[in-house]
Amino acid sequence: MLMNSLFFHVVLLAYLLASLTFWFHLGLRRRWIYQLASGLLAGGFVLQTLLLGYRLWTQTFLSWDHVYAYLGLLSWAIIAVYLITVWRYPIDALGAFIVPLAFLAAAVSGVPEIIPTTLPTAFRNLWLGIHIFMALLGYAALTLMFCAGVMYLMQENQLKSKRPGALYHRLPSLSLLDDLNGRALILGFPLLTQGIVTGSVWAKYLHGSYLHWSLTSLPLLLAWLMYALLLAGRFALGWRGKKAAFAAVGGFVVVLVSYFVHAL
Amino acid sequence: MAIALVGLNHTTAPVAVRERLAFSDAALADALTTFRTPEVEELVILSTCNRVEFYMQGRDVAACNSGCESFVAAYHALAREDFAPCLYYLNELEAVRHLFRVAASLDSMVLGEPQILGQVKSAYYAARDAGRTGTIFHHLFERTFNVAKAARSETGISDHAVSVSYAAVQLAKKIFEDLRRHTVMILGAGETSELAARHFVRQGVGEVFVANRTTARAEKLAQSLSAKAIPWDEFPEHLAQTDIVVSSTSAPSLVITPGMVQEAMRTRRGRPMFFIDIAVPRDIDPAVNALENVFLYDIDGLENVVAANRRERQQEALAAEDMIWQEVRHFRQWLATRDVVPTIVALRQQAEATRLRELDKALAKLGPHDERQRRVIEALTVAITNKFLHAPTVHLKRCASAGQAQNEAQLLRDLFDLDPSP
Repeated sequence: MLMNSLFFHVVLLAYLLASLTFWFHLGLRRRWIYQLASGLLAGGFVLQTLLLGYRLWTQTFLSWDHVYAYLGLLSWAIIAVYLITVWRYPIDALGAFIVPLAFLAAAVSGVPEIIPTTLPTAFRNLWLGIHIFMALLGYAALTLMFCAGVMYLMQENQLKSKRPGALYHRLPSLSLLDDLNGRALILGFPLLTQGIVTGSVWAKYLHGSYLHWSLTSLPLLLAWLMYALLLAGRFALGWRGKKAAFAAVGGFVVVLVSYFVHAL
Repeated sequence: MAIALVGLNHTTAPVAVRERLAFSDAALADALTTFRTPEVEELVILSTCNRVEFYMQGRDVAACNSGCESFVAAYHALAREDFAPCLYYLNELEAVRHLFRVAASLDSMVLGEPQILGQVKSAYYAARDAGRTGTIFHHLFERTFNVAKAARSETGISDHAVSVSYAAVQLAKKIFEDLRRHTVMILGAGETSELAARHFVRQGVGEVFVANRTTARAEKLAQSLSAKAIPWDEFPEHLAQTDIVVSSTSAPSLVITPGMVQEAMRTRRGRPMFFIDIAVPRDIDPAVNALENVFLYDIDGLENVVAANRRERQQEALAAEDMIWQEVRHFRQWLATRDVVPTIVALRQQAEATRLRELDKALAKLGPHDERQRRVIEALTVAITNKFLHAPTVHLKRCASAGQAQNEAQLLRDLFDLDPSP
């Protein structure tokens, strides 16, 4: 219990410091600051992975009925998606946008209460695990789209205003951000769909019905709808650039609001 | 040993003075051999269109400076008053720092410009070939080349475009990322459009169209760019396949209207377009910029970007200045240790000579002894001298790295009587 809480706070601190360092890097743009931020983030991520692994192993997982509890896992998924992204795309500025969100998610989740899970069989646990994992990766991809969208709108504003400031130099090109937006969409949609399908299978077992499964169902359905809308917009109606960025930001906000309204 | 710098540059001297003091390549070789005074032991002359600088190493700074002034007056047949007010004089580490800043282009008219390092290099090589450089300047210029290269590669002082046409290319990259898959259309075959077009071609854009009212000129420009000339009337149809439009016609009224662009954007399914209007009066309706995913820059907009890039370079220059300070400190340390090395060597030599002399005496007095006894006594003498010399050596080296070894070294020389008496 003590170790759990200590680890958790160290992870929080690492994410907070990484967020601040990424902001410093945005302002000062020294290579070593970026490396420091990445180091802090990687350290926090490894620790968080160990922490989550430990909880899984000892079966003292948080109570799944508690909405806030998922946020801790979500922060892990967001960092994972971030790490994959910067591995493929050289976007130094992304950390300053997405890492603070992961930190907030982890901070809001609080130190989770340790309640032994009530699910008896390994089979159910597996379905539950897959469902949660897929859904969270889907959410994380949505978060990535949100950040890419915000960065796109900022850069677009810089370019349209013809008075480029510091951000013009720091942010990547519009094409790259739009591309990132599209990729996250293509990656996130199947993940979220999978999450919903596995979730309903699990719900059928638990409650005997496909639709009444968990308290988190509404935001999940909303997020899925948002994804479907964005996909349709991008590939059928030719939304790209500004419209796609706006839609990604809007979709994220809607899901976020629904999540918190639901949690209250 | 002292380093002195006498020079003038674009901030201290008008071009009328600079041109009279400048040295052509041939004159430089000549000057390096003619400027010989006993005070100046090492000499490098840097002469570019923005500066003329004499880097000198000798015993006496004042003598170097006045020698340099008289040489310049005599060589260029000028009165001292004609150029002396424009001169600046820097000594020792100030001169070193100035050289580092010059080579890193921090002292240039255009911050971060790439030519100056090459000019400093050839100035040094010319001096070396004329036999005017020694160990100090060899080390100094070696450090200069390194720090200048590092400042350029590790900071962004030369990253951001400070010319209008290159700024346009960088803007295009901020919109499209990779220009290779994109198409450029050049409207008007004048000089300005040609310059901008060349920048885009050098960045490897996919396809280039050229349209001009007189077809012959369009074809000529197209040929030199290996582009495709299209008839003037057909350019609106080509808009839909074009990502970047550079317009610089001499038309008195607007050439591209929002309606035309809207039409093209529909066909393009919203893929972004970038319009660069470098014509005065303007060719493209400013309302085009209000369309979604369409970006229009006129000459004022490009100037804004250039100004922003200049500010960005200034920011980066701060980091470069830090690097230079650090390098100046390293050089000072090198100079200082270099000063104490002869003292340490002399001290060691003296001790060793004394030890050997006394050892021989003692062994002679000892009479018959075996090999083992001799070795024991020899080891004893070595141990005693080393133990005694250890503290002063370490102390002197420590003082040297703190840059205050001059007095200590002299004291040591006096105490141990290391300087051969006159």
